[in-house]
Amino acid sequence: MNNLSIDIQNVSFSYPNSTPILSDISLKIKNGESVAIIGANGAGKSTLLYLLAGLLTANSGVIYINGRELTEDSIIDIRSELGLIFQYSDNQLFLPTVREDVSFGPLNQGLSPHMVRERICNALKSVRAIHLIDKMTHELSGGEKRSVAIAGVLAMAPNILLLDEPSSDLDPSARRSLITILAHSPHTKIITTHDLDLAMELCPRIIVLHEGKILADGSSEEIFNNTPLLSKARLEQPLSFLLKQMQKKFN
Amino acid sequence: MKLFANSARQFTQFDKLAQGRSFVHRTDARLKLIVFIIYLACVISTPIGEVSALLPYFCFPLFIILSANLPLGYLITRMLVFLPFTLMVGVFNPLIETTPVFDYHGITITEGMLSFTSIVLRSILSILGAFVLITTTPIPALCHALTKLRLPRLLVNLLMFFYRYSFIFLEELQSSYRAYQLRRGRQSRLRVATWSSIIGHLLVSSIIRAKSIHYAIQCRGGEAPVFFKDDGSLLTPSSCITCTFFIVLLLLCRMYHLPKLIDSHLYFLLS
Repeated sequence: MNNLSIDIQNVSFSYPNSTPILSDISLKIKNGESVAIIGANGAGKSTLLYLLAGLLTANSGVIYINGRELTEDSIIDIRSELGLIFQYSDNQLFLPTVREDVSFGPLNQGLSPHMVRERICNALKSVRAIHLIDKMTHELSGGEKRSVAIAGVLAMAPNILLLDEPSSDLDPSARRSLITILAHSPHTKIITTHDLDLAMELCPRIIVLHEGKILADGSSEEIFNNTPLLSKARLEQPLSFLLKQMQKKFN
Repeated sequence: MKLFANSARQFTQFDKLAQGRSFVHRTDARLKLIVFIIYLACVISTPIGEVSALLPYFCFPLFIILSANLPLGYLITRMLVFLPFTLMVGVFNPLIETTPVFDYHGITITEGMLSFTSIVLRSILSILGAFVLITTTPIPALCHALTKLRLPRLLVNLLMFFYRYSFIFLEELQSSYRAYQLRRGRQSRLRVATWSSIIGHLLVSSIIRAKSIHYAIQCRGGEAPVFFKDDGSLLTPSSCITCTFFIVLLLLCRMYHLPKLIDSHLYFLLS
């Protein structure tokens, strides 16, 4: 039985008349795995997520989501299995009220009004934002917008979550709430992030992207121990990793 | 640019007023829309020469403003912003139409003066009516009502997106203006080259944002998404009765020239 959530085979992508954004990317992600994709600005992290969500079409290669090839015919069904949470929550929360925005996905999945109401409540409860249900989206704080954006995706009951820079614009408290929510979520998760501490905390597996290619794919321990690799990818060791190393030394 | 910053505050203020809890606020948006449309139709269709026939219509927005506890002074101040445009529309009428109609205390009132006054009064009534509607009905509720009243979904969606992203647009405009203020040095006025760059930048960032929003819609709603669905809410008897009463009053004002009627009855009673 295929336990692969995502199978990317030799995928390349570039915009017309532009330099390649992604070159010959191949990777496999199992069901329930949490993977962080890290890299410098312009490495192609967000583009990879957009390809997985079917928003962009690869120039070459194949993508399989839960065993099904991602094509124009299968994209609508596949999109109900994966949820993409955008970097800027204001772009994702396009309806005026929280209730309407979170119900948008289930409504368009053809669910009954009763099911939609149930999904909205469960999704908002899971991100601890049920008290925001009747609020206007433009009145929410940054952290609240992020929580509601996640709820809007969770309401569609996907099994794969794609998160693009989920902790950007969040204060420490909101960031901690986000980490707690994601840590308890059983979904397959792919997180693109510059927040290497978050990547270390949530994702046992790290993929390093550099100039559109996979530079490294390994455990967080292996990747963050490899300072030449991180330097090449214009990254640094996360502070929490350094503290952990220091703790190990003193113990 | 200060004007834009001020507009942002007013827009937010109108939004806050619409969150009230008075009987008017709680009335179904469909009924309010229907009453507003009939009110507008009555005001617009009043013959241009019958200026005094427009006066009873002032009772409607004033009554709703008072019963919904809306700030009358604030709304009148906001309404005055639109007055120059109205004046521009009708300012030449007294010069073009010079046929005398009647004398009033030695002043000859011409057709042009009457039509100009009629234009100004209609404009005031229409703007006040629109203000009353949007300060007692949140835009999302209005969008729902428009959908239920079978307005094309495309138009309702456009209104909804305009409302949702106007706050973002105004915030970005304010940020751009503040960034300009902090770096303008001794420049006293915003130069054409500067504000055209700001506007251009906002347009470009709006296009980029629109693309992201489209992606977000595609991810959760597919290619032909539905934004609103009928929630099956029913109209309450009290709302229906109140709105029917208003509609009847409006139609009576339109059918009968109330000031003349009152005047003739008073004359009859006093003579």
